[in-house]
Amino acid sequence: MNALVVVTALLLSVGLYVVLTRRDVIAVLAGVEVMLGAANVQLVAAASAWAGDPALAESLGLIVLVVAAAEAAVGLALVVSAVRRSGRGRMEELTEVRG
Amino acid sequence: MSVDTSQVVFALLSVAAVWGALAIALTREIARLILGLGVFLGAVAGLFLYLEMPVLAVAQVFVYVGGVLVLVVFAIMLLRRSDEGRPELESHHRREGLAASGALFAVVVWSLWGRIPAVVMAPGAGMGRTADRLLGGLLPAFEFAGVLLLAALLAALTIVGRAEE
Repeated sequence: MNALVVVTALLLSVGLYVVLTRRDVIAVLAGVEVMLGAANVQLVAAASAWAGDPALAESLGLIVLVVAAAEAAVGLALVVSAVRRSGRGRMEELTEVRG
Repeated sequence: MSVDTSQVVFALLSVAAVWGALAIALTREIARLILGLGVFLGAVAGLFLYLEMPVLAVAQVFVYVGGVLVLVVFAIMLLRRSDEGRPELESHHRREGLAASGALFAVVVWSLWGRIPAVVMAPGAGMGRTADRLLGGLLPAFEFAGVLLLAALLAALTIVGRAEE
């Protein structure tokens, strides 16, 4: 499983690179999804080995997947709302937070 | 040296996932970003299958490739005006991003190297036992996930509806 550790660590770091360097908000959201996917794969592999119960690991992965999908939906709605109101779609332009 | 079929499959899936992630990180065109995201999400579903978790793999395809990816496409369609020409994606602070991601890679590999043994799952033991877990001890978490999805759907509709007022 060392190879899987390296692959998921690489994916996680690439996702972080996307989040930190991309200027477009949708690209940043895509980077977050990459990080979540990599973390989920690592989570289910580790849970399967450490808990000794692959079915439990699969169930946990399913719940994480659902939460991540909910986050993606709300995040995209926020992005659409923010860009429509302000007309700006870059990270450095979305600097104001208003109630 | 003989190479196991599963090792070849794992290598192909890993290459596909990394290629998709790198496409998201490096491309300057939004269409290639969507393609990279789709390839990455599909490769993750393949990795779940490699770990002998078919329910998770199918859920990944339905929810992410079929749902989230389409949501991203719709968001791009709503936000991109036709007079903008071909939208280009830009990056900044590349060196700092590379340093931070390199540090994260080192920390994750250092902390998990050699600590996850391979697990062989008994054939045919997957879906029934997963259902037992979800509807047994994990039922509250499973129900909460369903409520969370409903709340997220309502929140997304409210947020976008308010933006149009």
